[in-house]
Amino acid sequence: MLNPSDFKRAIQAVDALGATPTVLVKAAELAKDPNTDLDAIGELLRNDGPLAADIIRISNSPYYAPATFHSNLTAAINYIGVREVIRVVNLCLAQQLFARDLPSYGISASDYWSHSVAAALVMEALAGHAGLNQDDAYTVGILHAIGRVFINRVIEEQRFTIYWDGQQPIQDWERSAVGFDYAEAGAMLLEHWRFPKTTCNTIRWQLTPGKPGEPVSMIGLLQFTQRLLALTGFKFENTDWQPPGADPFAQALELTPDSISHLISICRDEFQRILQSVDLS
Amino acid sequence: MGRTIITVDDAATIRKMVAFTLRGAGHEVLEAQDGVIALNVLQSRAVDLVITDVNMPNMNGIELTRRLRTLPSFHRTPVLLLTTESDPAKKAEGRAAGATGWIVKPFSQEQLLAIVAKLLPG
Repeated sequence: MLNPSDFKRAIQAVDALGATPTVLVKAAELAKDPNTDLDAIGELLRNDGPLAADIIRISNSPYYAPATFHSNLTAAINYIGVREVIRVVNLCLAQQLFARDLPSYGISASDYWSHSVAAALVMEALAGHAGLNQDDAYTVGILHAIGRVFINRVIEEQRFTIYWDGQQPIQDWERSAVGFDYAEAGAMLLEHWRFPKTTCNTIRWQLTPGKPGEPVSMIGLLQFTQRLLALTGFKFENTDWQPPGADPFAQALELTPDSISHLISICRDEFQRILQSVDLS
Repeated sequence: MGRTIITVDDAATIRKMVAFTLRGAGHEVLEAQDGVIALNVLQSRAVDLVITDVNMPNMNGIELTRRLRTLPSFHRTPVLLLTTESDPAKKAEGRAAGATGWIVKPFSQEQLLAIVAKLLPG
């Protein structure tokens, strides 16, 4: 349904949001290299003024409780460390991309950002249990629905549309409105930004059900995260939620209902700390 | 199968064009010049689809949508807004008021029939 020129225009419109996804890709590559030092990360981030400013600001926020004020990027990175820099880059990226409401979906920017951060936290925690890379899991969680930004842009350029009614499965509505769903749109965006193929494929196949007995994968992790967040609420707001009793993925990870409750409780606390302490506005 | 549709627009040309296109497709079409007149008609007459301009005197299309959604018989009736390209905020406002979708003016007969077919399948 979308011709190549429409696609290019929509990609450019998302690029124009001012986000820095390519910096995230490079920073993640550097972080995985054991020979990388903090100076190399600093050099990379220094080239992105708004991002560098955000990292300094966040390193000075109550979230990291610094003893002294960090006035420059090197001091900020040295204080919070490489792994945290990647998390902060993720948060800044999400904040830039998700700073606008998605009127076609009826989703506010704040809800979208919160949902993405919640997914990232649960993904990161589950990855620890599954023996998968936690940084990659965090990135997948925060970007799993990035395709909606793209689809919203495409719809804004269309001559007519029907809003999502909140009842129809969202991916069905997306396919009828633009010809593809947010999983495919997200994968297209991440490929355009040259994210690793494994990340793109995880986003692309997130709506495809897994088969029983399959090894634990990042896609399964994302799908289980979505099932958990549907129970807990996308801001962990459901206080009376019950962990799933017989989820095959939980069984594969040997997660009991008690351990799932404990994991969500930790994620909820972390989520609140991020909301309260990291002012990304 | 023909359905009953009301087209609400203070611009007679647009209203007539919409009505002509939809009648040609076999639908029964009612016409109203603004939201107040439309609301009066719809108090006593059920329709399958409301197509309303946004900017109109007396009562605009968004207010009409909002009022219709308070009427039990219009909770689920699709409401299509006619907007201009320069007002994305109006699209969001229309959604919040309970509109089902929008179509940007000017539009072709084919585009109008395509979205009506989506809203009134079968």
